[in-house]
Amino acid sequence: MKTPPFLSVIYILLLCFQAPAAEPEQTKFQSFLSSHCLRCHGLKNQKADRRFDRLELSNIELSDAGLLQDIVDQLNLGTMPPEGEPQPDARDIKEIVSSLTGLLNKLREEARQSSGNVVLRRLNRIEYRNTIRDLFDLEMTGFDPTVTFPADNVTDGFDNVGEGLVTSDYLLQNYLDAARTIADKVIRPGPQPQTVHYGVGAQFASTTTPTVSSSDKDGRIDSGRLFIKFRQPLLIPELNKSGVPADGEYAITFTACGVRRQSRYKDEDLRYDSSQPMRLSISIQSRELGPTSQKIVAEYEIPDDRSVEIEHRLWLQKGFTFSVHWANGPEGSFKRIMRKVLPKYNPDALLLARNPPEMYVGSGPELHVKSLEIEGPFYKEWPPKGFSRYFPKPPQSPELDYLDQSLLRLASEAYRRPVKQEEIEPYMTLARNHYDKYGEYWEAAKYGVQSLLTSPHFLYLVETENTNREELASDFSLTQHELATRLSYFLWSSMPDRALRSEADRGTLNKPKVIQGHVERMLANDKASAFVENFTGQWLNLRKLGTMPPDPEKNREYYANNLEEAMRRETQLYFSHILQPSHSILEFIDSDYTFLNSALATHYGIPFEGGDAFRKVKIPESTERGGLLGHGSILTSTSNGVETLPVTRGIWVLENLLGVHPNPPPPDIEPLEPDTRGVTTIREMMEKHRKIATCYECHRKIDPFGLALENYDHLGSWRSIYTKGLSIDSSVQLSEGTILKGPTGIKEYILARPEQFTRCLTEKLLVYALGRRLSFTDRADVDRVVAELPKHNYSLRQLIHFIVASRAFNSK
Amino acid sequence: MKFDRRLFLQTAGIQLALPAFESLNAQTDASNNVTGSKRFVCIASNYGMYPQGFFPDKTGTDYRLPSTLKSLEPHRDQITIFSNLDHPGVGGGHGCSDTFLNGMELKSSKDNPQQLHTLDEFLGEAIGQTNRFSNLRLGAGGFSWSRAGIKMPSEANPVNVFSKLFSEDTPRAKEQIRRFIVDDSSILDVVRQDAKQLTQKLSKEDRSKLDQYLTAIREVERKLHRRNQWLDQPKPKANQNVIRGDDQSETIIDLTYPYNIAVMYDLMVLALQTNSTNVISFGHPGGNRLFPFDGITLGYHSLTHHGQRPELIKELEIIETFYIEQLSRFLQRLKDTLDNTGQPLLDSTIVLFGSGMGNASTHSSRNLPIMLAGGNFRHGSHYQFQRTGYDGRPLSDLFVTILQQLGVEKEQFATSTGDLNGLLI
Amino acid sequence: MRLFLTTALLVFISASLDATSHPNVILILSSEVPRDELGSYGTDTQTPNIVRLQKQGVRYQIAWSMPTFQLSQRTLLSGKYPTTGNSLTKGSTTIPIEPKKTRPPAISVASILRKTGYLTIAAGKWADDGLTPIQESLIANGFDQHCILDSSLRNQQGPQTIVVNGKKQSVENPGKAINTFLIDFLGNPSDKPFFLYYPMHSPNLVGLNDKSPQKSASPMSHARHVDRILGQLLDSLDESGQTKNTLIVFTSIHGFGTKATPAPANGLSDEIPATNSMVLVPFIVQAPFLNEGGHVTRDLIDFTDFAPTILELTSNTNLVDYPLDGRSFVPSLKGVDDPFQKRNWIYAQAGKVRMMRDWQHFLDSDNNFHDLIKDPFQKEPVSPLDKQAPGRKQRLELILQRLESKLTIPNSK
Repeated sequence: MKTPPFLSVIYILLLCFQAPAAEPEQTKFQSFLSSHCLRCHGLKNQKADRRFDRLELSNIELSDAGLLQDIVDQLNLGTMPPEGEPQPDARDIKEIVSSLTGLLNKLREEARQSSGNVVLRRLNRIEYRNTIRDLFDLEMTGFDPTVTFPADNVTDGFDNVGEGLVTSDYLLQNYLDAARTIADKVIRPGPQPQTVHYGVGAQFASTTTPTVSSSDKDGRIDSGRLFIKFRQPLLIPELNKSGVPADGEYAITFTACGVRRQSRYKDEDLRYDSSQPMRLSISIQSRELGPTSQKIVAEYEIPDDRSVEIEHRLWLQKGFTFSVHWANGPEGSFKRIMRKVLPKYNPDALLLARNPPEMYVGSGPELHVKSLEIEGPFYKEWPPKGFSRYFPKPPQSPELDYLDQSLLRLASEAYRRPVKQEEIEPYMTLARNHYDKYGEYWEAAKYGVQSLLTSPHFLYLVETENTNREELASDFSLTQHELATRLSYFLWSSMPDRALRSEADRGTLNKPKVIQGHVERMLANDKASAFVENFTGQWLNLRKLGTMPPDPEKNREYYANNLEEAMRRETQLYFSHILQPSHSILEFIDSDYTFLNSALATHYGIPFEGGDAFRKVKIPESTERGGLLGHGSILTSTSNGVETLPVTRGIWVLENLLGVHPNPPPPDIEPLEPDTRGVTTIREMMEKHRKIATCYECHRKIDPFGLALENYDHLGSWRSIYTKGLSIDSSVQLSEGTILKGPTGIKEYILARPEQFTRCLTEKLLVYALGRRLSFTDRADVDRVVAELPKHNYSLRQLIHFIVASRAFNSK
Repeated sequence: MKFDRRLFLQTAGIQLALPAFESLNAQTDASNNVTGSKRFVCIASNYGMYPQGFFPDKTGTDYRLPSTLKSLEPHRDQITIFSNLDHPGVGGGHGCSDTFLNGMELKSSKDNPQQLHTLDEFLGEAIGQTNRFSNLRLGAGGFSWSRAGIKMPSEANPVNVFSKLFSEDTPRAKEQIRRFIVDDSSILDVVRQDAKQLTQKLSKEDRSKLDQYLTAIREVERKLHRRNQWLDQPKPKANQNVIRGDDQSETIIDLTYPYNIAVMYDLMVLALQTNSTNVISFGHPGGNRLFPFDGITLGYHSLTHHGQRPELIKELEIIETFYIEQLSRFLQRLKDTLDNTGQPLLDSTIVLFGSGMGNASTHSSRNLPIMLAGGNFRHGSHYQFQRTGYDGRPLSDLFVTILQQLGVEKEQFATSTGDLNGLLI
Repeated sequence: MRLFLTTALLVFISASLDATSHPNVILILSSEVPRDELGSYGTDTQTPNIVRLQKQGVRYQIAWSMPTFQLSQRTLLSGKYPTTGNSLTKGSTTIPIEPKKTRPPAISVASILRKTGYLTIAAGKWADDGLTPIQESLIANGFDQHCILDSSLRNQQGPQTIVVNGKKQSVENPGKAINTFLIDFLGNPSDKPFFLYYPMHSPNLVGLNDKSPQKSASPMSHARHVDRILGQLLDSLDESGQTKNTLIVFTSIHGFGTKATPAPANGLSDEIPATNSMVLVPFIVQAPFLNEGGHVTRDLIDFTDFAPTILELTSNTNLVDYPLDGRSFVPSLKGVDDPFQKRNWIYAQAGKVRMMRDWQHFLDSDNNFHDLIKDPFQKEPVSPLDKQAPGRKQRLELILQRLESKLTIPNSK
């Protein structure tokens, strides 16, 4: 039986309906349970780990609330009792539901009074990086203090959920090191460093006569061919000793040219792939910090027989130098080539003898660099904003009070709230002691910065228990600054900016109009891309894309055209588009447009003029796209790179669009082993699987949604038959009997249940916004949104506003 | 097979000088209980092993080595193979690869991430404290979880491993590092106080969260202290040939995966031989790379989804055979190399090969491919345990035996219900 | 095994030559033009014309002559190493030291050019064998015209005898006379392309002023004279507009009597110290129709390479029965990178003294082995620590064996 639409309406009314005394309810409830539920969820069986026989309405514990909620939901959705079971009378259901709902509301209120839900959570990796960026206006390209951070655990689908964000000694050590590097970059007293300009190549050549032959190194340099011998780096002699003179942005310029990419030598002899364009990589390293400091910062494709001049700007720390490598040049040692390979080709070369390199150079693939220069450091402004903001007008002679004040300025930014001097006294003392010890004023300043960036007040989004109650609505409502912080980490994955901060300072942020204004402003800001990337990345599992890469041999175009990135981009653009005002979340389910570049359009078989740039494209009637279910990103990430995974896809639809969480397979079931020898389709195999009762229970719910998508292959391109010529049957029957025809069928099914999708998306957004798992006390908020959103044409923008206005978002 | 020759590496190519800091090694040598063992190496294969190629048909001592394991013939008296070991309650899917050493899935440890602590990390704390590196995580990793419950990164580049083990920092760098160590410690003092005060203002749920931070502070302090101790100890010297190759030998050193596995194994031997560490975990990556071997036409992951097609299974076995050949070569090296007490390294080194995934074609977490070598155990047999319903014998029982063999007094680890001492000790 | 010497038979012909498929060729074989190991020839200020040639041509840093004038001339004109039947053809008799069984006797590149319609001139000092009349041997070697100092009739002082196309003339200053002859010749281009061979290594030839130079003249002053002569030739080529179509090879040998190379008895001697510096000579090629000039290269050249080069440039490439030892350096002149089209060793020999080198290392038949980059004057043996050297030596040894198994060496042990 399906949920009649009116039920959800009644349901809303019930929210304001006080629960009647429990006594008479109890008996009714018990009898209902025993007649309809206990056989599967009682003493003997506990299907789906649910057991109801111990529920007593008279004395319900908070811990039971979850169970009650389940019952209500299942009854509302009409999914329980399952078909084939005696169905209860609709009126009984209505009664039970209403009384339970009332009860639940009461419990919720009690729960609210007893304690908040907030979990103290640390910044995750992305938030840390963004916060540093904004705190110090740092240029982050080529600089990531979090590279060595461990990956953050994912909880309830998101990596910003406090419960899951572990702090370990490994991470803390990384915090210390990162903070040191950052402080080093930030503290820039004194005048702007002189720019230097070094280089090698023709104009820097040792002699003036150009040469014909480039067989010897000098000759090559003179003739402007600093040919890179395979993986051996090419560097600038002047830098070798002490590296660049100062932190700053440097411009590395080089002119390069690929020569004889295909040569007389066989690839397997050179251990080299001549089908790939040559690539030149730039890597940086510090003599002082040793080989461990080396890392590749950029890679460029070098065309054949045509010189390109490339300028790469990057941040180099003092003492760092750089070198360029032929990233995909022949493998192994040059010696090997001279001893083993050359003789195969040149009769004059002797096997295993030390043939002179001159006999090879000029015959095989070579990457020529005609010149290599570095110039810098350059600065957008001096002193850098990130420094002068906290250290305005640096004193000529060491002033410790100035240091204190500077640290105080920093703290009140880094802690995202006003900070009293005494609060950071210990940190000031640290810096002072450091100065007394080493007598290096600015080193002491760096040290102070480092220590503040290691403080729990910076690393954690602290929401303390309220002390000054009078100015706050309730014990659990957020302070202005806590609210500002939540908001900015929700929409920017970073700290509040000036505007937001001063709003909080004024204490006007929680005024609805004001905060709405900020939401609008913030969504319009580039930083909102963090929201798009991180939320879609996790709600839709886009991050999973690429973890099961398709086969390199069988899917060359996937790699050649970088489809993976294109797919990800499509979905992100799609989301950002719907995020614009007056777009409905139902467009996630179906629409007549999407965002494509030529590669992806070809992949989808949609006509497209243009190149790599993405455009909004109207989808031809004939093509089976539109809505997220047509996105390659989702269809690929729900496959394993080899074949489609209908079960995974089914679960994906249930969990991410319908908000239904099928129980994990009972652990005592071995998945059946795929057999692609015979002429069985995956569908036939799954049918076999479903014959087993225990599997049938859940798979009848899951499989249909996956099988309906079978026309999309493992990379999301459309197919009408399997490669083996077997036909694809994408029409399926749902557990409650509905027939779905292919993707369109799924879309229709979901569009017929907008409230279910709304609830699903709302819950996802709420988890992401709060940075914690939802507890049943948040239910009211969700219900309210689900009820209200239709009145706003399901606008995603409005949904965001609802979230921000929700009680959960505004309380601890 | 064709790639043997290219991969063969001469032991002769490697000379090394042991540093003179016996003081720090004294304890390790002392704890070198002749009956037990003192080192632990774990090799993990991300996609398990094709069962028919791994598990012998017969149990006992006179089993026939299955196709994939052929190259282990010379070592069969030094290895033990187990059937039907797995982690109770761990479900299938790619996640299970990461449960190899802790028997715990991330999703089922939400409220108590400490349950994710893995055997190698634990042993690092237990028997790695007197070495420069408490433990090394090499290769693809992914299956090492810290005590706090985070997935630990690993080093896959042989060059970096070599410099980590053997390249000396410049005096200047050392000076800087020492200063950092001192400075960082004083920062920790301050933030600890700060955190303690903060605790007062927090709800009790949050306090527990902040405890993680306080624990971390203690740990970092310990490690900084240790780092400081080692700073002035000269690193052992090893010949660069191991990663560069040399002029005399016909050896070709190839640092690209999968050929660099040979190099990694050589570095592991060096690390153990020089007492740089007592605990190493080394992972073969998954992914879908196309192996550069004769007869390979599909990516690795694609092959694990062979769907029973014999031609694909053959290809998969080429890769797995290669892995085992490298392992076999490693065991040989451990036999040939003596530790500083004059014993073959293999006698004092427990080598555990296995995976958290059983049959990759079903992403099964059951009947894991597990093999134990060296470490002064009673070897030579293939044991097959009973399956009761879904579960076989808990793999963690083997872990307990390993722990005890290493002199760690522990009756229980992860999901263990007993031990396998009876079979092995 | 493939007879690799014959690979010298110009495999890499490019058709682009047609425009200038019959360039004029001037081969100047000077002597005692000093060069240091770094490769700068002479002193710029003192030899402006040599520098001028360098600017317009390609300067070879590593070029070997033969140890003696006679052997050098043979090798240049024949494209073969000594004792591989390169003694120049003379009417009837053959030189006794030449065993019959060796490869067919060399013919002079001059006679081949002559057949293809070239006007061939020899001027200067002809290296005769003392047995055949000069004229006969000149004609036998394919020279239509000549203007030669007859050394058999040489006086210590006073007027000298030169032979101009058979006619003896007594002149005060043979050098001046020969030069005037040449300038006159170059001044009036004929309709035929020409090949001019101009060995000017005798001190008697380079006095341009009336009083002939002292024997004790310093190499530098000698070089200055050479330079001046060269200058006049270049000028008259320019004036007659033939430069762009003329290949000029300017090289040298180490003249006798200098300290560097003591005079050998009768050209073949074991006393000659087998050193790189004895045969390392300047080698400049101006070929405007092949490159824009101004290049310096370390490509290897020895005297056997001249003939094949000329033959390639004049499209005389079908000499199947006449395998050359040398290898055309046309690819090098064109700036081709491919080392497969170039030499990877060079060789010089006088009697039992035989030496070979590549870009860095030197080996001689007495097994002396040196690193010429670290040790240009072959003062000390190669360091035992040098990891590359043994491999490099092994290679040179093998090639030396290969080579000599192809050559038949007279009076060898």
